[in-house]
Amino acid sequence: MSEETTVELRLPASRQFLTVLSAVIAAVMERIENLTDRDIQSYNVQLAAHEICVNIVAHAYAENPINDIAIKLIVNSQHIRIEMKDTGQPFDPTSVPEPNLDEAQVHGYGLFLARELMDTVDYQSYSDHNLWILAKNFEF
Amino acid sequence: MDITITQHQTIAEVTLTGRFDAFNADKLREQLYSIIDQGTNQFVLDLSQTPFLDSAAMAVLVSLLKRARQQGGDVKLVWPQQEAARRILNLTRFDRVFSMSETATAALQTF
Repeated sequence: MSEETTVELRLPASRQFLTVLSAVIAAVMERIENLTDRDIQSYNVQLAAHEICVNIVAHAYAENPINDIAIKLIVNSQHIRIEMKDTGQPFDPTSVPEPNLDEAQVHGYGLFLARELMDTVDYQSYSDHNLWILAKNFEF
Repeated sequence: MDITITQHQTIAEVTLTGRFDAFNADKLREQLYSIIDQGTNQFVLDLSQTPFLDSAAMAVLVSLLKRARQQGGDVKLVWPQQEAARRILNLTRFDRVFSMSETATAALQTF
């Protein structure tokens, strides 16, 4: 896979279908050649994307499954970029403090994990939609 | 996710099989809280067969830990077998907050 390829999904905004996204990411990364620790890299990208989707379900759409999340996986042999678009309530990523890792807490790990596991996590709110972009260079 | 609960006198051994995430976390939390309400405050949560954990799962673990400790008990964890899942517990330093064991038998013996 030397050229860039785009896989598109439209998922209902429901926790029930998060496994679909994980399965697609796993399948896409399975075809990337020469990855170091393939299972770990795949898991990390799956988890990062999963956490953002949960954020969209819970905050953008307040758990209303009538809405959906438009997802694009843009991948080549070196890199993956995941775009997740919703039309719900805007979110302020700066409002989520970094968790204090010296003391277990109930909330706050989701965005932290996404940022730790991907190279970049960007969010932009527009007049009619919100867009998360997660990106990772593969390790070989 | 399948949940198996084995009572060892004062300790509840909870074995989770399958993905533990935002889809099933609330349901598990309610089950665990009901065990506490029935008088048990010592838990071994066996994550060895849990290939995927997310922040919702971690929230359940922390909630249970806080509630158990409020009642004089504790929650001990068994490491996931999958290296990727183990690394997430390292990344969030859960391995420093919780007592971790390689097997449920070992975890039970730490009480």
